Amino acid sequence: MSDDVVIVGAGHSKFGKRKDEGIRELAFEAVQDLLKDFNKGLDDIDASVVGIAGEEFSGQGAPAAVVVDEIGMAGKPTLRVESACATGTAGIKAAYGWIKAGFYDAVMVVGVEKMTSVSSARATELMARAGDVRWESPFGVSFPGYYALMASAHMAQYGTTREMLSSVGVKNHFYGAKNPLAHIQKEVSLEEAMSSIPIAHPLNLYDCSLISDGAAAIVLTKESLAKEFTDTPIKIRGIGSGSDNMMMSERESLTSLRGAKMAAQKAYKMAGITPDQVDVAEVHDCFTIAEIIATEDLGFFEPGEGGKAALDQQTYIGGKIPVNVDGGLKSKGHPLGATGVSQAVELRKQLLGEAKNRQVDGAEIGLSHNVGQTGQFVNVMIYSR
Amino acid sequence: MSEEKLNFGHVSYEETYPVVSRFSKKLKDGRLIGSKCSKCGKVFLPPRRGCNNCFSTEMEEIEIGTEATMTAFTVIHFAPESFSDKAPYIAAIGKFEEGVSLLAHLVGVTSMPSVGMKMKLVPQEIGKNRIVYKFIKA
Repeated sequence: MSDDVVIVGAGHSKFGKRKDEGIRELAFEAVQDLLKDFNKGLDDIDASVVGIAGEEFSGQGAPAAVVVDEIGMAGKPTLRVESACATGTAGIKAAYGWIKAGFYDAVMVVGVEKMTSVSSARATELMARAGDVRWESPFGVSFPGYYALMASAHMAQYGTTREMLSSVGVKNHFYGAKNPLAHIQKEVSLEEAMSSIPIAHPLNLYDCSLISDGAAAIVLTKESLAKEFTDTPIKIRGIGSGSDNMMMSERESLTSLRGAKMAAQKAYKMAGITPDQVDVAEVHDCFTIAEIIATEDLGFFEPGEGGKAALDQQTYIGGKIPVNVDGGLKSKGHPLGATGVSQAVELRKQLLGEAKNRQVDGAEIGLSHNVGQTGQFVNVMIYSR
Repeated sequence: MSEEKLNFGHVSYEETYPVVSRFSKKLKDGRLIGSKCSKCGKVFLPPRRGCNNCFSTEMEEIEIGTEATMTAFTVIHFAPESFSDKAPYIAAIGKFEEGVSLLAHLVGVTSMPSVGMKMKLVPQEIGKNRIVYKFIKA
């Protein structure tokens, strides 16, 4: 029997506008949290993978090295990964590959981003450059703008409404208010969400994820070694990935991410499960429309039904599939490089029954869906006890 | 001496390479030129120097009709820094009869546009060395 790769430790910084902390302090905080209930020390970890999406935000060139030093891993093999907003899961996948290949027994994955040191207009500019700078960014399409294009197509094709979009934000703030690590721990009414200022029509303020600072860290090892680290390992059961055309105008669909559909199919196949067996999902809600499309691409709802399902509260705890019950990118926050690792940390809590007042009872299988740019990078991960 | 470049877009984030400059000069003459792979027939708009399907660099010029149907749009209210003074503006994707699509600003509309509307792509010169295309209502 093959030796599975397991998560044996996890840590998470507070997400938010962390004006007194840079990437070093944020990563340190996540690893400090990880070491609190870790049976081993840093000496027992052989290598590290650092996920950071952009150096423009932090000011540090080749920023992984300062992180590695700050978390006490200097001298050991390391690697920086970047896959835009899917950087965190790309890091987990890289570490998984290292362990499966037999390079190292135990690897730490740290995802971190410092984003609030630049103005919102500047951050919008930097992220817009993740669009095609030759043919599409020269029209000033912001990152919300690209997802707004998809939203307009989804609304026209399926009758998805503004109210459906807003209901996703309302849910994510409802759960974010219960998450002490979330950036904005505040509930929002449907009326407030619907009447907030427009950012990129049809998306308004409460349809857009937050520009946040934060870090998350996990340690992976082989299942056969897990007992040395913890009594409660979490298995990585499936990993699937996909991508898409660079230009929005060349996509075969504007109402679905083909990379996400491919990633989901591969991950389900590897794990040997079907979508209805997932107990709790963390999906990449960089925008409300992204969560609606994600729940369709992942097979939780039929194409075009994701908006109605959100409005009918099918994605709350007690509904068909609880989604982003930690607040998601919308309320917990979205420090780019940290997000995919944060999803793993949250799912581990859920699968260990440690999610307190936002616990999905008896959750055994968790799914993480992490998207880079507007679908150019996608990783879907399946975790279980 | 190298030929003078004609830049494309409201702003440039990268160098204006020959494949872009050639496209821009034809756009100035009112022609929308894509590229078609001589080997496999795949059509690209905007043009590419090589075919990503068969890796041939024998590309023919193909003129694309300027009538398009809108497949998606957005109104940008909070703009990237370099567009801050231009907001709000509409960006739309239009699909041409040849099956290829482009993203551009939609200008001159007085009410909220809707997916499915007919548009026409026209060139817009910005100063001496810069050009862009825009959609107008057909």
